[in-house]
Amino acid sequence: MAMVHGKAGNVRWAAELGVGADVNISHVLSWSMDATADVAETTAMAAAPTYKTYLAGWSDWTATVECNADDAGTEIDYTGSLGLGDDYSAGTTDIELALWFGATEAIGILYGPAVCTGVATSADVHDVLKITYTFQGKGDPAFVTNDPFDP
Amino acid sequence: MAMAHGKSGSVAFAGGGSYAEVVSWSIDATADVAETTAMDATLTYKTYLAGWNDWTANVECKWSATGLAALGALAALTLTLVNAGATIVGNGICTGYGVSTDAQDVITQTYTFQGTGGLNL
Repeated sequence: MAMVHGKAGNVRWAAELGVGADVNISHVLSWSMDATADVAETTAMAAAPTYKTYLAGWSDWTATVECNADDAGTEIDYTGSLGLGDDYSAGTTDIELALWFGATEAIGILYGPAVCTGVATSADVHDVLKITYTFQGKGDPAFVTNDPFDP
Repeated sequence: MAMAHGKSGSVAFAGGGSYAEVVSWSIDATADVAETTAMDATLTYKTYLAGWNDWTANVECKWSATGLAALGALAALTLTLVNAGATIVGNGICTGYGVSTDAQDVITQTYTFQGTGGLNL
């Protein structure tokens, strides 16, 4: 498979399968997603082994999206549906974050249920206003090649 | 012995992930020490005994296919110094997977590994 330039990426924030209005985050400069796995040490006294041993525990993931601010304000609001801290979930429906690698779904999308845990806006006399959104994953992320919001 | 350039190295992890476009890899092995320093009439330097060894590794790649499946997996990690040359091998747990994009650059992905058990060169 080929490498991919980030210039055509995209970020969408929406409740699964069309519940509520999608947020197509505008003016994205960069996004990143970090998944981690905890480990529990199992090292015990032994006559021969010299290296520590571990077992894998819980996994976790977070994401960060940096944008130039839109003059209409923050696209993820400070309150309300799909806003900061909104933990909407009903049945199997969650708010999901979709991180697009390119312009088309075939290139790849990382997505999963999440809560927006931060909306940080900054202004500088010499630059465009910036907004940084941070997300905490609340379930398994997945890599797909079909739009999870329009399967 | 001759020095080696990193350009023909490679990475393989039997637990999954995509390592087709490796940019860099690193492995750090450490040894714990327990201090045994005690009052002494003549010695001036601290003394120690070696304890457990440990190792971690990091791999950075240009993204070409998802490596999310590697997270949490325990399998053999093989780091090759130069093509068809020496390898560093050990069982590791993938403890971190990250993807980063920027409007000005190629998408990258990174893996971190916690060794469990020994390393072999």
